[in-house]
Amino acid sequence: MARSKLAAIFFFGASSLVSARAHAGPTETYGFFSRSTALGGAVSADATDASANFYNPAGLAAARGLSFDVGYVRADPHLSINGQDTDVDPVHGLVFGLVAPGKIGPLPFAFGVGLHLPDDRIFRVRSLDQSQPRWELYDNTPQRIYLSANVAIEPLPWLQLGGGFTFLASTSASLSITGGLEIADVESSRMRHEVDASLQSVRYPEVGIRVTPTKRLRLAAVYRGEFQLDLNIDANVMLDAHALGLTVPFLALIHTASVNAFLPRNVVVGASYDATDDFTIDADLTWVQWSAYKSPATGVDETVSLDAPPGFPTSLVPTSPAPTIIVAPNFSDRIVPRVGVEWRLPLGARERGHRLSLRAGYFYERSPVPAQSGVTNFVDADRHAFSAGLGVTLHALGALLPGDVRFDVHGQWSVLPQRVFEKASAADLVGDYSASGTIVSIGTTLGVTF
Amino acid sequence: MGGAGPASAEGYEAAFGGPALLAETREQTLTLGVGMAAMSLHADTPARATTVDVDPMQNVTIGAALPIPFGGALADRVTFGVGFLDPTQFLIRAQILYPERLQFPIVAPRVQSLAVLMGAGIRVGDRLYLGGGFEALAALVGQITLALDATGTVSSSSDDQVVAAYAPVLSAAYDFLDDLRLGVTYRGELAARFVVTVHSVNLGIPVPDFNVAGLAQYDPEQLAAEVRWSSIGRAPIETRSRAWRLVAGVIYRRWSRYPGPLEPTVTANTDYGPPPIDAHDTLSPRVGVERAEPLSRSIGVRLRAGYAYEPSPLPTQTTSFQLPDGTSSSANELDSDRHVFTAGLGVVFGPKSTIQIDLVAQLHVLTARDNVKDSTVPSDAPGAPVVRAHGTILVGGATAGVRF
Repeated sequence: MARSKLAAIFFFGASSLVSARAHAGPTETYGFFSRSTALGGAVSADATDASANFYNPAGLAAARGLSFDVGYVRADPHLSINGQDTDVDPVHGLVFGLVAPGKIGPLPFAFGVGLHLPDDRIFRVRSLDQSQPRWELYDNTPQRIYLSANVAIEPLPWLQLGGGFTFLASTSASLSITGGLEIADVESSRMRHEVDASLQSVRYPEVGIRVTPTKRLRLAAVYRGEFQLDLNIDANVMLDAHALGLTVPFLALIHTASVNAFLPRNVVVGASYDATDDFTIDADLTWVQWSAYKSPATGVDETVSLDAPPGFPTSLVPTSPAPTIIVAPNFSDRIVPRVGVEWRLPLGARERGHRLSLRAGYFYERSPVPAQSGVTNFVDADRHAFSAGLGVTLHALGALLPGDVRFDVHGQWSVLPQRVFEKASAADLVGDYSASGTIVSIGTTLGVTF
Repeated sequence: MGGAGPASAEGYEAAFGGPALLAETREQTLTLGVGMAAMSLHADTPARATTVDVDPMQNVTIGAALPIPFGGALADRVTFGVGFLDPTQFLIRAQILYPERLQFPIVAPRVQSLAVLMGAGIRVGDRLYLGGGFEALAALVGQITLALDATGTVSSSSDDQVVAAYAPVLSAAYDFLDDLRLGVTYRGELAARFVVTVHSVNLGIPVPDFNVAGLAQYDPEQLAAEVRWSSIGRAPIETRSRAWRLVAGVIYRRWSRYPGPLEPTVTANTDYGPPPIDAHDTLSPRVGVERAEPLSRSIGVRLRAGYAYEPSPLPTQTTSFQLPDGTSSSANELDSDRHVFTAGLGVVFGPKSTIQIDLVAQLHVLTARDNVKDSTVPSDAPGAPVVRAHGTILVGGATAGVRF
């Protein structure tokens, strides 16, 4: 039992530092700003507010005036395996965005910034063994900041082009721990450490195009780049373990490597049609390249040595743990259809400019995760997401605010129907299981357009 | 201009130097820039000359100043500013080294971190400007839990989080005379820690919690005051302006609150830990000058120069400390006073100053400082018997701004 425990402590410690998973972020999973989320996210051809920073930067060039939006969103997953809630953490945080349209000479130009800032962290990396069942796309998925900066131009009255970068970071570290471990009185152990760690800047591109062939029809296409990083950790542990009157030098050199923070490449095509002056229909199709997903499991190289003195019990001499055999995840690409509708009603006299907007949307995400018949247990199910929302726009409230003040709310209810995972081997430690769940998300946005 | 700010900052840079002056920007401005810093830091003993490795830094800056078109009493009074300084390689770098290693813990980390600045300024009345905002850095917090599973195998789980550290920025500026302005800026302490706790549960052998932690980046609480004189009074410098500007200021930095980069590995053992760093507060004077000259109706140039003196907040590294095995060594957390020379060139295009391109160069000279070890330091300890710290830092940058 004590065999290789000391080595294992630092081996698993270092590997756990790196064995990271991360997938689509909060904006992909739960939407960005209330109006666009209520429309099912089918807004690549429609969004011209701060949400365009994510859905289609080209839309920034069609903004009517300088605008600021701030809001809050909360999503509570209730995801179960074999009827037991897996306690996937909720996601909650601030959203902020700005759009600044203008002109450079005769050319319409716009600049935009979008931010989703989780309440309690910028992002989180959590590692688990690949055989441990977990909701691979939701557990820790949206625990991440979203920050993007974009520009857009309108070279022709019917054409907007936009692009920018989204900023993220990966972690890597090398660490060294030296000193003495007092087995009989661990709290008197004298150790010290040094660390060379970094959060590495990563930017992935997003570009979009938006065309207005008629007064009532808008078409769009958007490309978002893939994002994944190789993550390496080196740990160097040199301790003198003091026990039974002996001093036993111990050395562990550990190198681990894994993939961190994967975001699949995706392409969106969309349309937005004004059936009447007060009624709009939006539709998007998104291709998501989940087939490029690489296993987040960690590869480990380890060297352990213990300079055991004569008479030292051989059962306490550590051996290197068996290497992890990484199984390819074999995820598959998927097409995500989205649809949204908006009905705008005047509040009071139409010429006053106040209005009430009612919105509804839907999208379907087929699970990219294959059957988990082997050692891996990446749990996922198809997702049906229904959304609704309403917004109030008040125009020219006074001399101080000559533009619009907007207040929007949304709710989203996602259903993940039950999926059964069957193992090929009857001796599998995890065995067969079923998974299902729901996710409830709500949010609000307050915006001002000048 | 010697890093001037509270009375002279312009555009999105005012979000850092003095948010109150954002209110002076009355047109939407977007600025993109690139920067680089290269360090040549040396720690020389009589036996050997050592160059301390510090990665060169390149960064991209994005900034915007956006006047808010309120109407009524707030018309032409409020401006919002935002800026990102994004290192091309590292969002943040935590090099937390054993204290006896030859290192420069004050200057080296400062070039390798992402900064996010956001602020707003408002003109109150005719001559008073007030502003505020915040600066943010990233920090890492994590926990690793080790335990025996049912098969007797050690299993692990980890939860690492990148969190944000924030510091407020508050400023005010007042035009006492048409050509004389006083500005003050307060910036709160900003500390980005790296903390990963390794916690063991039911392993069968006792293991203390390991606190693998330290301070990756630290900006002390500071108060800056500055006076600006302008030959054209309160008018902004435009393409066809011909003007002189002089600035003089001082920055007080509260380095005495700096705990040092290291933390104890076993926090339960209160009898052993890293040696204290004993930093002290500093007062840094600076001066700058700017000359604006038109070349034509649509091109103007702005020449800038400045100087700042940055005293070191760290004492000389002379005493010994105890290693875990009971032997002695000496800390080599080096630093020295810096003379900072700056020069810049700006070119403004368009009769309405539509486009502006700026170039800047800074040379930091770390004066030679001898750290003479006392008699308690073993002769074979790193840095013994004396280590001379000196070096140079070269910073360069270019920005292009457009009004839109």
